[in-house]
Amino acid sequence: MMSKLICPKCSAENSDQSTHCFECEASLAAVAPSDINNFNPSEVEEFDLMQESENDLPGLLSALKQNGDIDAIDDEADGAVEQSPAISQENSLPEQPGQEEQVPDWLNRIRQRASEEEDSVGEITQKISAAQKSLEDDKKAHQHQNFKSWLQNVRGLPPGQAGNPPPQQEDLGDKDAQSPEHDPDWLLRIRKVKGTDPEDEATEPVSISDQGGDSLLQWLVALEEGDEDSQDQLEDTSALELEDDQKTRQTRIVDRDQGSEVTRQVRTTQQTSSRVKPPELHVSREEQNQADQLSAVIGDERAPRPPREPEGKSSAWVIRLVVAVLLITGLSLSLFLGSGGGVPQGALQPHNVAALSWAEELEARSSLLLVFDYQSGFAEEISLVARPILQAVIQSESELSILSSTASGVVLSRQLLGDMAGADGLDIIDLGYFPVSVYGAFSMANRAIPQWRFKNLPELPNLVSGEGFDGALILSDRHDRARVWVEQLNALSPQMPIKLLVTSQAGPMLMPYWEAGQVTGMIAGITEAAGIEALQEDSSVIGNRWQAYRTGSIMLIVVMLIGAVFLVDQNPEDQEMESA
Amino acid sequence: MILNDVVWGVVGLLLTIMILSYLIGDNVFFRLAAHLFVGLTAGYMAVLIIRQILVPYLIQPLINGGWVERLWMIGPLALVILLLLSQLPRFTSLGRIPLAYLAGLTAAVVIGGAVFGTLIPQSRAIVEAFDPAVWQADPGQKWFRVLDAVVMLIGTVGVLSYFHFGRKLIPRGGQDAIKKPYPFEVLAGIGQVFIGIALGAVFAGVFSTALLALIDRILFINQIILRLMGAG
Repeated sequence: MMSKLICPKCSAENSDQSTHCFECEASLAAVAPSDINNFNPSEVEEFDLMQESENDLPGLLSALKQNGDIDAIDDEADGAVEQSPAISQENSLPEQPGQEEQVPDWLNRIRQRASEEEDSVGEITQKISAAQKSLEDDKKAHQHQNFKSWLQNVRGLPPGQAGNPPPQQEDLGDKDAQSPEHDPDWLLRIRKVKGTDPEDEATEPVSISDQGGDSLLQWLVALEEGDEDSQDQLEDTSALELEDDQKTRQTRIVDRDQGSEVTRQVRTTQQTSSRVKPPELHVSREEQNQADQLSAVIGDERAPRPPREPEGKSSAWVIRLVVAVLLITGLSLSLFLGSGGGVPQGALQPHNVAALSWAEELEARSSLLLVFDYQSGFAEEISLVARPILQAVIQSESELSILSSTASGVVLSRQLLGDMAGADGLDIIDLGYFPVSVYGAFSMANRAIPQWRFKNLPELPNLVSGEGFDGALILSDRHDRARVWVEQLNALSPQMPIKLLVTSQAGPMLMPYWEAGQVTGMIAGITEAAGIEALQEDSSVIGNRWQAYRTGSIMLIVVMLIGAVFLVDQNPEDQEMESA
Repeated sequence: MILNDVVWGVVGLLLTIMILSYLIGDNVFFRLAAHLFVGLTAGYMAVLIIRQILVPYLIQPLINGGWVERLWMIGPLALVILLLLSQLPRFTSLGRIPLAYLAGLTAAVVIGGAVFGTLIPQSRAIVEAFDPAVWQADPGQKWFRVLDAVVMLIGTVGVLSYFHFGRKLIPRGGQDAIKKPYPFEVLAGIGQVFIGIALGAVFAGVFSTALLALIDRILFINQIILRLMGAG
């Protein structure tokens, strides 16, 4: 007489002196000792092996899939699922001798592979073959002829829930033999471990899932019909179990009488599933947090708020309008009532003098490149800046190649040259619109392989790198675009003189290129243009504008000072931060 | 011709006033003028690119060119088609190829131009400013040249130090852990002054250009009014 403690968690045997399971270290304090003589070890092994076989099944399928055999298995499995309960029942029964020829090809391949390989798959398959052989020999045995009903019995389920015909009475005896009182002790212990009570199960009402057919469909039908009882019953099982029951299972069992391990292949479709449960809603913590935040936002949005006050916007546009009217009035008075004098004299910078002297000393019939790289909003300032240089160029009767690197440059070039006196007789080559970035790409390609001459491509790179120009004039309103032109032209043709005619906003950032010698002359803004006009003793164009410019500058400086002192706009958040 | 000028002049006058109406805040006239400007610009750009880029450099070589030229055009044509297909939701990923090509090309051009067209020449200019031969070129401004070179050197080093984002190797803890090494701290302070001056100059330039644009618009309005009154 030997007592053992059966772990309620892993069903491992422990000595009666143990306080914790040696396998899973679960507490055995509440476990009553069991008589090992009444407990057949093969039963525990049976229980464990069933799980093991289930764990081995994915490996088996994975190995078969790599060999391309999985399709055959899938087809077989699908066919099995679609079979009627009677067919399923037939499949669950041991094979008849005459049915050996009907073994599917995939099973034959498994057997063949199992005979050649000794891996886990082979082991399982060998056991399958051994089980089939053993079952044929054991056909006359009185126990477990109906394997499915036996399996249900092991699980502690009433036969009616399997959806199959009730087990044969000659196999399992009368109804009393199925009662818990007549079950062996080992089966009762397993049921106790698994927490299944056949009496409770038997008293459950027959649900729609017990009627055979697709369990998912039944579940949906049950939901649609609002069958409360069915739903209550459905909640007892998991969705995972539903999927598993729809697959073909392979279960290893142990024949107690023979003492030998027997493996059967059992197709258990959903009809054998005892219980079906609707899919559970799993909500992660992150999702829960997001839902909480969303709820908080919605609640905050719906919360009543005091009406927002206009924050003095009505006065802001009035101030803006008053300042603008004052500015426009002052500019208009300076423009139309001014004397036109006061142009600064002697304020020429070295780069202004260099540009002007280069234009005046330009040889006749020189070849020049004019790059128009400004927007229409700056056309007036560029016109003032470029006028003295362009007049000198026109007088030299140079050959001009015009290139536009902005979309509006095509139109603005015609407008600017059309306003110049004597421009009608100029020899002008229009190179069209040519984005500066594209020019950079072509320049780079030409530099990489100078022998290349692209056909049907812009002529400019070939012109610059070939014969070149006697000079380049870049008319630009932005320093970054002008800088790209300087970089590309300077690298492509270092000897070509580059002059910049740019706006006031571009001038300061381009001065370093003059200091470095990459640019040989520059005029930037109305101030420098006014200086050149004063040098030429012609104040007819810039004179009034210069006066208005000075007036406007003074007015805007005053406005900025007043705004900086009195009207610093501070929003409440900034004030809170400062106070904090 | 005169009538044509007057009509377009009036249109320009109205658009100018509509833009200036932003002084009283955002309104429908300003939005109308802005939308008109954006739409016209987009349409003009499309026509310009088709006429001056696609037709002469892509379509004509494909139609009239030899087989070698047509082969050359396969690459650009494929990139154009991929970019167009990327507008369809199903083929959005195809647009990455021409965009990657454009980004790589732009980066190569910009980096190459910046290094060989700006960084190296500018550095050389600073070094050459300390050449005694340059100082002696104009004996009357010798000390001015020296001072100019020194200021230029200090400004360059200071600005570069300002953009040095390192920290001390052995910090003493607290705020000291996020501070630059002491020499960089001093030079960065000097560089900050130079950066402020440069940005101030840029702002003054923008201010000046905007003021000139306003003056130009006032002159334009005056000219149109005089023309409408028959005095122009």
